[in-house]
Amino acid sequence: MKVLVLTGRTIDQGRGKEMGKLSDVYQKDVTQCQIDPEDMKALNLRQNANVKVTTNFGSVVLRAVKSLRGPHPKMIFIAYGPWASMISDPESHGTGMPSLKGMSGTLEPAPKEKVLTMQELVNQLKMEA
Amino acid sequence: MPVITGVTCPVCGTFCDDIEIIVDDNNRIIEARNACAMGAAKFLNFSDHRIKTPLIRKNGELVEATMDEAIEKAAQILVDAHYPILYGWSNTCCEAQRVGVELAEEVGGVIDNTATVCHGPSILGVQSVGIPSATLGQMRHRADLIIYWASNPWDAHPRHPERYTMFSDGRFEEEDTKSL
Repeated sequence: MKVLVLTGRTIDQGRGKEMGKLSDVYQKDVTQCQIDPEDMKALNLRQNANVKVTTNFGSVVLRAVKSLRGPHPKMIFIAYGPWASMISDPESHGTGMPSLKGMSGTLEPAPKEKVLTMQELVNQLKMEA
Repeated sequence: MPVITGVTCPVCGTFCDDIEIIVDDNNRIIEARNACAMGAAKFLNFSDHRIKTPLIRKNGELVEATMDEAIEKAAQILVDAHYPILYGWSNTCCEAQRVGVELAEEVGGVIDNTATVCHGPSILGVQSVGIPSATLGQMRHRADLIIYWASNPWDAHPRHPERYTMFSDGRFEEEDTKSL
């Protein structure tokens, strides 16, 4: 499914970053992909099923959750964090801030892939570097 | 137990200044009254992240040092620097920032903070198209309708609705007509 990817703050991302980026609160929140309930039905996704999001800048596996902010068909939301950064547009237009909203991407079920831990994500980046 | 009143929260731009901090006998924060979830998380977890045993590199090895030694070493580094940048500050309380500005003046450095990055796009927008703005007082007392565009006060500034919009009483408001 073609989607528009938005990233931003959530209250648990905000709480979690103060508890530590290795805390459960933080890691649980920033590995969620918030999806319109109708889109979840269309993709036959259950709550917390693994999904893969791919943009021109990378791909990442996340847990699908029903968005409470809908309806926003074909639009997904991921809280700021290392996982969202994997697929965000690094173009800063000279402002020093990457383009964190409005990436075109695809969303697909990924039942056989796992959501990486923080350590695994960092290791993957090290390998790519 | 000691209660410290009138504390300003250093987390978001709402700058809630009515926080009451309860400290236990070990000088550890055990409660942050009036703070939102994000502010409380800051105050309650702050001491876990503090570096209580500083490390100084000696002959290539990091060794534990006393706080006095560490401050002396840090001061020496700043004094020896040609043009130090004192950067960060965005989660620092106002009182500490003031000391930081003085310190930057003393050492002939430059002071900068993370908002130059995160608000880079805002400044670019202001420069190219200008900025229609309102004070928080105007929002609370005079606005009938507020549209939030590309911002999310529910999550990023949790006490904004309570202090300025939905859950606050405007001076000229006859009935509860605000919504978010």
